[in-house]
Amino acid sequence: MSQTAETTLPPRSTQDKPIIRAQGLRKTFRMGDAVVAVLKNADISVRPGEFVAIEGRSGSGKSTLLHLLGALDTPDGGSLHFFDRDYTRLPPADEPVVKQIVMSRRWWYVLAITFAAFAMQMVAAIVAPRFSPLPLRWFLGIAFGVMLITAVIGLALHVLRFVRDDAIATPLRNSEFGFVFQFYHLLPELNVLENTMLAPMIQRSWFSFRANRRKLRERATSVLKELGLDHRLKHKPSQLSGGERQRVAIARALMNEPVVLFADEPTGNLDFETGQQIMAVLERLHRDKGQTIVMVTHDRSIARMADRVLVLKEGRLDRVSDLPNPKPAISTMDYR
Amino acid sequence: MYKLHLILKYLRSRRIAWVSLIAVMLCTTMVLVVISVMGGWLRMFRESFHGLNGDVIVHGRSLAGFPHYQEIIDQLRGLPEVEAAVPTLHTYGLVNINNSIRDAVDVLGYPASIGTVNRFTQSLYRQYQKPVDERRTPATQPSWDLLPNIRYQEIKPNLKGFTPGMIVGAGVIGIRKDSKGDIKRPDSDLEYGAWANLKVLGINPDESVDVEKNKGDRTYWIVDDSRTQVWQYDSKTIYVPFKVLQQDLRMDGTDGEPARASDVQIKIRDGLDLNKARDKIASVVDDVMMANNVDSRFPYIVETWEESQALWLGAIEHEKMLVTILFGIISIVAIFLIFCIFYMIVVEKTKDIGIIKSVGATGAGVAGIFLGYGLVIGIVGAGMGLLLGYLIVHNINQLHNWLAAILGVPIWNPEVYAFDTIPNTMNPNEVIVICAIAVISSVLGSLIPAIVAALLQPVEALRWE
Repeated sequence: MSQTAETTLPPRSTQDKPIIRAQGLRKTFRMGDAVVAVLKNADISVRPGEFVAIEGRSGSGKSTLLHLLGALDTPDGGSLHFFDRDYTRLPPADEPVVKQIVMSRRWWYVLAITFAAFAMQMVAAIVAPRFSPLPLRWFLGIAFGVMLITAVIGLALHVLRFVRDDAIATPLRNSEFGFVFQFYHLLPELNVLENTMLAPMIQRSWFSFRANRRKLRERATSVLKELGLDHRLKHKPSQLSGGERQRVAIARALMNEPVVLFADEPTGNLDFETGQQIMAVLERLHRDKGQTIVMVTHDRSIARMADRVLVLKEGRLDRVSDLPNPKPAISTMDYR
Repeated sequence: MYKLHLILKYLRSRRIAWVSLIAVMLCTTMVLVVISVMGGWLRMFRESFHGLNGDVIVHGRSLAGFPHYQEIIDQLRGLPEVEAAVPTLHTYGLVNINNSIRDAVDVLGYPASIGTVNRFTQSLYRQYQKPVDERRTPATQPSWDLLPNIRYQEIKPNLKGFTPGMIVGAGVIGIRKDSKGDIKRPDSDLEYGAWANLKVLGINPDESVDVEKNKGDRTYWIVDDSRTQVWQYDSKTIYVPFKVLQQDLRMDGTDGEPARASDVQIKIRDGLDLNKARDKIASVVDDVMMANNVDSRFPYIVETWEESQALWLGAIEHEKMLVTILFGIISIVAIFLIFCIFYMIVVEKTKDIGIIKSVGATGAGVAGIFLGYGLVIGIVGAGMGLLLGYLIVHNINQLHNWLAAILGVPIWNPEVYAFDTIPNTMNPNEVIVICAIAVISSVLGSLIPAIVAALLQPVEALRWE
């Protein structure tokens, strides 16, 4: 773990308070009838200026972990903190019964059963009015009552989730976190400059954006220039190579000077050489500017460029201690 | 900021935006055209019905009419609400025109002053509608005077006695639209030199009939034809001078009773409440009847023109309601269409939603993009629909004639629709309402997709393939 000479950069001591602290994270996915527990009690903390790599096989849940850390998804259990801010956002209905009925798709079954019973009542009332087992009107009332209550609870929970998400997660995503994805995820209709400026565009009102447009444009241009894209400002993503697209994605993530940069298999979709160039960019950001980076990869050689490597295995994180030190020097590579 | 930017980008670069735009435009155009034509037709119907009636009518409920009408008129003229009041007669008769047309008809006896209470004058072809290029100013009140340039004696030399003029409903003498859509009319005043024999029968106040004494049998000369554009009037009604008909029906006071009229038509000053005026008039009429000890042989009723035509107007109102329901259904179909297109757009854009959200857009912001998108498409589509609808409605008669020429079948039949031209005016209020509904529908159509988009977790959206 090396300390840079610049005094203006945030200190990188492991004694610092962690930026991100995740404890006992749990996440399960439903695939048809099967429930797959991807994360079981995963703990991680990231300190300022650290470059953390999370390694794991495909499908081990490392991307899921990164999405939880980056507030792009919600865990089923555990806790998440950004400094002292809690952004866990557990499902609003933790009551097993309500959750089973409302948040899962089971409530469709409830509706279907109610309707079937109602239809049987109707048929019975028409075919043999005397043998109708329950007064039809009562049944109608109960059926509609159940439907109404289910619908209202479902809607309320959705709205709650929606409001909470807007209040807690979006400021983090916009200003504190930056994200780089394996598949770049650029907006195809916007050009390089507009894609880069997406975060401030979203953050600011129309007037605020107009007023600061020149400043923001200069900032975006300088970020893009650092990444060697200043000659591509007006190009659409479809006109760029894979490496260039990934660099645009990095520029977009860096635009608002995020506290933490999350990278989800940033080289996964690139050939070896281009991947090395992207890694050089991340490495340089970390080394020269003290950027905190959390990266996910399945490639051990890439993971080794990080300060610290964690392995995700069977839903838990383990520290890997047998990393060769010092790291290979790749920062001199020309990525242009 | 990004919302507007993205909306404009999406509009410019997505072909599906044009599909939804065209869908909104066509729906707006369709509803505008049909509402304008149907609404115009219903409006013309109302106006035509009103055209042959005063605003308020004192209506005798038996064919014997009611007495003291002149006193009633004198009293009514003293009311501030009343602009004019005119007596009229109504009966049934047998007409024989030139030995070529024999028909049972409605006979209306109008004084010349009828022009002050209703729009009868404006329905006259020779005296009003015939173009001004013959240096005739349109008449302000109808005239039954014989035409100076016709030598009546030469046409029917053996005719004896007083022969007044008669105005006939255009349909009675077979004037109607031909298959080309043109109205065949007499070329000159000379064509009006046809005689018409009219037989009527006066009814005694006690409803007894004395055929020998009360028979009216008189020959008239046709001097004009009336086209109110209401087919049921134009095909079955003739109009003769009030005094002549009153005399032929023995309602002129010669039978020992006071002179009688069938109705008194009253014009109310503009802008006044008809129902209040009717109540005031009814009390005046009641006072006159009481003062003269008019007995129950002469039942009468005071009603507004709408009440007197309640049967027809009610039918039209029902038709309007039916049309409104039909268009409600069409509008729902249109909303569903927009909903489907927008849902497709959201599905197609799911990944973009994930990207935008991962960079910090709120659910409300994402919903705003799609609602704004719907709003823009609604406004532009409604505007284009308004333009196209205006062009179609404005030229609908030309379009109809063109279509009729191509298909060989006229679609608009004047005998069914009561009018010979298709209404081609747009009501500004209806236009505003329809365009507003188009815009609201577009926003509503995008509402559920917008909510779905807003509720997506960024990861769910990014994972979308």
